[in-house]
Amino acid sequence: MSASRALIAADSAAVAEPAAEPATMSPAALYARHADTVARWVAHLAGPGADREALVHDVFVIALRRMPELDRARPTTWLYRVALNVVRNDRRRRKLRSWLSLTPEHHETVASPAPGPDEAVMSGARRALVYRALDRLPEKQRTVLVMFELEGMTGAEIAEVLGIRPATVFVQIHRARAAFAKALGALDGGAP
Amino acid sequence: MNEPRRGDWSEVPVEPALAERSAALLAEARAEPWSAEARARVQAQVVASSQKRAGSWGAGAVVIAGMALAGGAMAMWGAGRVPERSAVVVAEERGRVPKAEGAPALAPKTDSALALAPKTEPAPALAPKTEPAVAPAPKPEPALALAPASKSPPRAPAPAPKTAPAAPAPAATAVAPEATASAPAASRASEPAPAPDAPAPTTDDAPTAEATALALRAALDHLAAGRLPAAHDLARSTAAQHPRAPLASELRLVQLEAALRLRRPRDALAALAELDVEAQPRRVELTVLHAELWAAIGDCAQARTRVGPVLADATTTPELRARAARVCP
Repeated sequence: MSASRALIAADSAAVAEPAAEPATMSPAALYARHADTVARWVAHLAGPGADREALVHDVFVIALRRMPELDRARPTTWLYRVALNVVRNDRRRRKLRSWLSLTPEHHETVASPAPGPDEAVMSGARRALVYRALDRLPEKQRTVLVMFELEGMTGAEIAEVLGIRPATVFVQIHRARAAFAKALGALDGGAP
Repeated sequence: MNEPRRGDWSEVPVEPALAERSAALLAEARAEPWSAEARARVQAQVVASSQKRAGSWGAGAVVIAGMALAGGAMAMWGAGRVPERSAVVVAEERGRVPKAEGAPALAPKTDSALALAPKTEPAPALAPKTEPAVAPAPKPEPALALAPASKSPPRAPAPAPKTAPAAPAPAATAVAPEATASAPAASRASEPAPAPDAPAPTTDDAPTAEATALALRAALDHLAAGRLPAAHDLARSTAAQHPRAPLASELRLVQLEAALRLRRPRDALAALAELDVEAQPRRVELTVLHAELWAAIGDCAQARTRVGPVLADATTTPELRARAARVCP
């Protein structure tokens, strides 16, 4: 099942069975239902330099604390927003560290010590290259491109998560693709 | 504009080969599912966090209530452990710090826990040489906790005693024994949720981030130039002013480093009390240092509380184990 279909399916299920996402859902139940999806989201949004487990942990702790505010009509969308904000905060923190030269570029130095399964499919270097190019994009374009290209979300789904109009999403995807290609070209050409 | 077609980059205004390569690389960059072990690990942590917060399984409302009672500052994220947070911070007159009988000097030569300043910078001898309570942190090594610490989100303000050390005042603050310091701190971010906890879009507090980043850089410059009081005071005041800033923990580390090199164990303890030790990459080292500081001011009970788990942990390095064993033997 594609990511977008999974997103829709999860939301549809919640609409049909509102009791399935109760406000007092147990941590284990919430985790069991959404952990794999959230793990994939944060891996895509944060990239290879991030600590996926820590981010997933943070998403769920925050989500559990905010359970009373859960949008039961769209639980997955709500959870995605939490994940997005957690990742953005983490990225901002890492960017500040990098700007201060406190830590080198994470792509080169903070790689996972043991290659994960995704590295078996794609070399870490190529994946890192993708994220180096993504990191050259403005934050909004980066987010939209990751959601569309990596998560497989539709424009309408992205628009709902981000709270913007679908037409705006389309424009951003178009611009993000161009910016990504140019960034990739610059990186291929040895640009710093 | 219509929705772009997935996989079709023909409309992208770049060379076709580059567009094709971009599409191919992005298509390959999808992450694979994580391992079952990782899934189980995080589940245990999440469940433990919730249990800590709520005292029982699964009531979100109870979790919220618990957070409110805690003043929003003590989030318990760890598995079966209590976060290390100072319950009371009291202002004290700074004076000579009594060295505990039998307490070891702090920060042994080669494995100083804290070293944020560049290696070139000599540590000036500022304390009286006759009776130093705390050995200066020797040669600074690469940044202690400035390594990635993505585990923890920016911190929230500590509960009650935020009145104490906000300004670079001459009066020192000391850390009172913690009410619940019976065990080492919890895992990960023992802080309440930062900005991202709300499902609403992130509230990017750019001025705060910029201010703290600039202050951190200035504090590091002070540290490198040997202006230790300035570094200490700037880091402390900025961290107190922006406790939720993304770089608040880094500021506390600078404060800690400066306090150590100034041989002010009470100030170092104050810095540690505001730092989420468990979220730092070198948390074991920091825990040992914490114990050494308590020992240096004569509180062996607090010191032993901290070294106990370090000694019991099979993964502790021999060097840290040796340091821990020297604390209030």
